[in-house]
Amino acid sequence: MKRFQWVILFLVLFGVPVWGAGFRDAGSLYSVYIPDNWIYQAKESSPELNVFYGSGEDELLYFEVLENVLAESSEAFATAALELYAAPGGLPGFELVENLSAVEVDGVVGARCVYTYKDGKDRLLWEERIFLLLPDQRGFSLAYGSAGPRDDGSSLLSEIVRGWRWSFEN
Amino acid sequence: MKTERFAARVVLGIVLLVLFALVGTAHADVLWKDKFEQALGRGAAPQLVEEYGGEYIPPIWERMWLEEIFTRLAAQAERREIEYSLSVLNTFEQNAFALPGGYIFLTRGLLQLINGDETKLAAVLGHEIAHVEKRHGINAVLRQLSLTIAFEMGMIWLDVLPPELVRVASVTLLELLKRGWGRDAEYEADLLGQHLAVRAGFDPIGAVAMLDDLLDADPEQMPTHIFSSHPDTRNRRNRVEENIISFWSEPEPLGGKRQAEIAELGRILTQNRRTDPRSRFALSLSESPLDAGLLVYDQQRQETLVWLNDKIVQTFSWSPTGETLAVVVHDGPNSALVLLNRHGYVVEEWSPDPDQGTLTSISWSPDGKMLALGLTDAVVVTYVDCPVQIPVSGVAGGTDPIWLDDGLHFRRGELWYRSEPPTVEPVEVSNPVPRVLQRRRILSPTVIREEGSIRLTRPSLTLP
Repeated sequence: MKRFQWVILFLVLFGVPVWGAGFRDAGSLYSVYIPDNWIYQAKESSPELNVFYGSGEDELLYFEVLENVLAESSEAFATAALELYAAPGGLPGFELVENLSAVEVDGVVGARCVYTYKDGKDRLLWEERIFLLLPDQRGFSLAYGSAGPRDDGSSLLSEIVRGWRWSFEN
Repeated sequence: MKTERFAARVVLGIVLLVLFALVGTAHADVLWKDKFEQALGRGAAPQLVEEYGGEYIPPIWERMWLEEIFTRLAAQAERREIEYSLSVLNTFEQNAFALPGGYIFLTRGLLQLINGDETKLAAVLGHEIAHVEKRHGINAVLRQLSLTIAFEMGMIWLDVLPPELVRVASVTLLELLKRGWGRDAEYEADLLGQHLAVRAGFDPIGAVAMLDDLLDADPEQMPTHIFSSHPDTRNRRNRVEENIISFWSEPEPLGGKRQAEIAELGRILTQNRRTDPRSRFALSLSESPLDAGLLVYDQQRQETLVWLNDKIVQTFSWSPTGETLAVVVHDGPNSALVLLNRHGYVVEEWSPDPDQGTLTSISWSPDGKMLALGLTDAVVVTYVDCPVQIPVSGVAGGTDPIWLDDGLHFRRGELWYRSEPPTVEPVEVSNPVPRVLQRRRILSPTVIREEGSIRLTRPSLTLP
């Protein structure tokens, strides 16, 4: 086989996406490939939070690291968060669309779900989210928000996690 | 008939009171008072909530932040028998209350005014907790209802809390609450509240900043009683400002080796602070000390500018983040501190009183929130966002402030001294919840086509 064929085979086997651009967070916790047409929002971002806007009107993608998370597992972390989203003072009109399911993000088992809620103008918003419990009592969340699921029903976060790399050993 | 019954009750009350005085102890006195205080607060709380629009449940993130700060403050309280609780009232009036028994209330309007500033929130909550710690509410009610209380005391001592007494006392409590607990009680709560805030790891400047906000607030939104009941806000503000120095450590002379190091460290720091932390502007003083202005070379636009072109600049220093430039200017014998934003616009100006002498040097705190000002023979500290003067060097005087990570250093004669500000702990919510964000709407201009050309109007102010 020629060299480029080996490269293609390598990429297919190891699942590294060939699209998008590499992104590494300021705290050097993770690196990820961000699909094309997603624009980094420096003003919305901070060392703990990185935000990207997509081409759709309501589309946004954001990753957040949280300290002092005392949950015992990603699922417990997710359950506690969802309970608060659903409680008074949480997200208006919150509804869980897809229950928590296990998902792996570069070797760390997380909990994925989909829910909807209403914004201040009573518009329905849709969000796919993965909750993760990281070492040293850190929590992590990946979220994709939009007006609704993608037209082909595919999961953007599933694509994102394929190119995800943690900088710590796990 | 009524008079007779009343007289009989008074006699019975006095008999019981004498009995109580004979057999009672100081401990028993505290016990019935605490029990009565709890019942009183518990009884009055629902009425207060109803009167102020019900309870407001803030969004989870704000609620967790509130609870974290409140928990830190309540942990500093000394009355272990009190279980403190916090509720937010659904009114845009700007106010806060403390009911006996540890029921603390904050209005939604005040929360808005606080606008996420933890030092201000800590000051408000500390003040309200202090009212409970000092039993201002229960004592005011007892004073007001002395005759009834004297009558009922016997029953309380017998471990009975008559519901009628609690009801009457609750009504009285709410009336008194609106008038306030009195001038002395407010002063006492201000100072104790500030003390609690510092012990809980908050900056004592919050009390000053909060009272400044109340002074500036729209009188329409202020409840009339906040000014009628609370002593003169300006006076209170000045008292809490004067109290800040009590939280700084006494200046201590440095050891021999450190004495030699400190001047050199100060020289390096001064040089570093003249460099823009964001590497855009290169600043220099005019060649002649009589020339006005600060020469600025903008490396991005590759042009030379003059900032403060009508002032003789003596020295300048960038804040650690490069947000603010502090400049000492002279005009004959007078001196002033001028704070400029990153683009050279004056945001604040301050001149020392003539008896304070001339301003000669400046040094930023490592977090960039405070500035130490070296005067002829005094070092005072001010906050960038709050105009205060904290006389750190004390009556013995001092000069040449150098603010390093381990504290504020200054010179008294040949000796260097160090004083430490109160320790501030950042608020870290335990078990936080991931945020839920929504995309910000970008206002787009309207495109108008006009005979082969395109004109863009201002962005529409109404969201799509």
